[in-house]
Amino acid sequence: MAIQTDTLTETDIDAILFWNCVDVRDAEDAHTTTTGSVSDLPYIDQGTDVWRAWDDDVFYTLQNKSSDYGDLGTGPSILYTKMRLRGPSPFESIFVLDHVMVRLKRAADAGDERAFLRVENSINWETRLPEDVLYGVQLALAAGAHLAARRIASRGASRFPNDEEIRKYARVLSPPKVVKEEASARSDLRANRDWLQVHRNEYQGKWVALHNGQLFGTAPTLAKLKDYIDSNEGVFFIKVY
Amino acid sequence: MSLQFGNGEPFATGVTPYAYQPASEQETTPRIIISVNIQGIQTSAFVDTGGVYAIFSPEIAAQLHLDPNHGAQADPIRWRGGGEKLQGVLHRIPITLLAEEGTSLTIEATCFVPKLTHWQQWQPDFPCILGMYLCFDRLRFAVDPDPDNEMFYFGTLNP
Repeated sequence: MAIQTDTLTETDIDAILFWNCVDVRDAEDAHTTTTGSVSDLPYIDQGTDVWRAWDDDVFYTLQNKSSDYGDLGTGPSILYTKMRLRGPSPFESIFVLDHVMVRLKRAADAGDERAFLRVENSINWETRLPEDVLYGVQLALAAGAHLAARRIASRGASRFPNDEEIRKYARVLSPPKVVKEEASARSDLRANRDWLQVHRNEYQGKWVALHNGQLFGTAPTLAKLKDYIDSNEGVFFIKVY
Repeated sequence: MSLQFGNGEPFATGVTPYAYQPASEQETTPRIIISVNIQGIQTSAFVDTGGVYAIFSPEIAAQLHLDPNHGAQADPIRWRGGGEKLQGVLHRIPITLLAEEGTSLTIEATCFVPKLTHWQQWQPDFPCILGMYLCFDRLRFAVDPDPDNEMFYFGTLNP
């Protein structure tokens, strides 16, 4: 199967995956020879920049990788990489799916954390572009692999300190930390809790404002309740269940 | 008040009474509900040791006036198991665990701030949740379930 268009839609990619024209090149197929079609791309450390066919006359070299990302419409744009054939070939240009990211996405879509981590561990993130890193973090979150998401984001932020999105993820996924300790003696906490235990049934489903065990106000929503209260100081807001 | 290790080092530096009751209208299982301060709003949240992030009630979230552009897009979560999915944004927000005795602790935690769709707005039966991962996993805590004096102890790893 040959792909010669300059843009691929998600439908195209689904078709490719359906016909197994890309994924067919797994390790066990590495010994087979190429005839110049997408399905004949060799198995060589998927995700690296330079691919070489088994036929010495044909080289598949990635050119301008960062600018060659296309638009898949509603789907992510990093599932494929534009590659250009050199040497005797019937094709001007072809697109190649980024195998590893496809597998990563499949695992995330299935919510299969173990499968996700298996694929994720095979990726050398040090050679990946910022878009890949960001997408990897998002897929990790989708797969429920939160530690992996933190790890990918943290390393990505070190490699791309000027990438605002990656830094944002690295920051929000960093370990929690204690930022303030303050001596306190709050007798109102117990008084408020005791009030709730006594009046729970009476105010079920309503928002109440309490101050030192005294009812300060009540309303169907928090926004309305806060409209009545001049200051939040020492006031405890809770929906009664 | 304080819990200590054998060598006298404190395990917990703060203690607060907790309520042991369902945390939302549609629940029947009791939860450990403690008092917190979220950016100036004193409210309650339940401790969920199997959870991820701190998760804010949509009504509390609306009062914080957070800019979604400052947060990172999160994967949708489900509340109450098979319930509907909630879209949301992850923010890094300080949450103070209020101590009746000892020391109140402010932790900077990862917080899931729900963005409700229009048709979800009418039923925000959704409490604040203090999850384990990215929220409570750098704290020491212990529970005294004595029905006459239910207490929640907490402390930092590096007092």
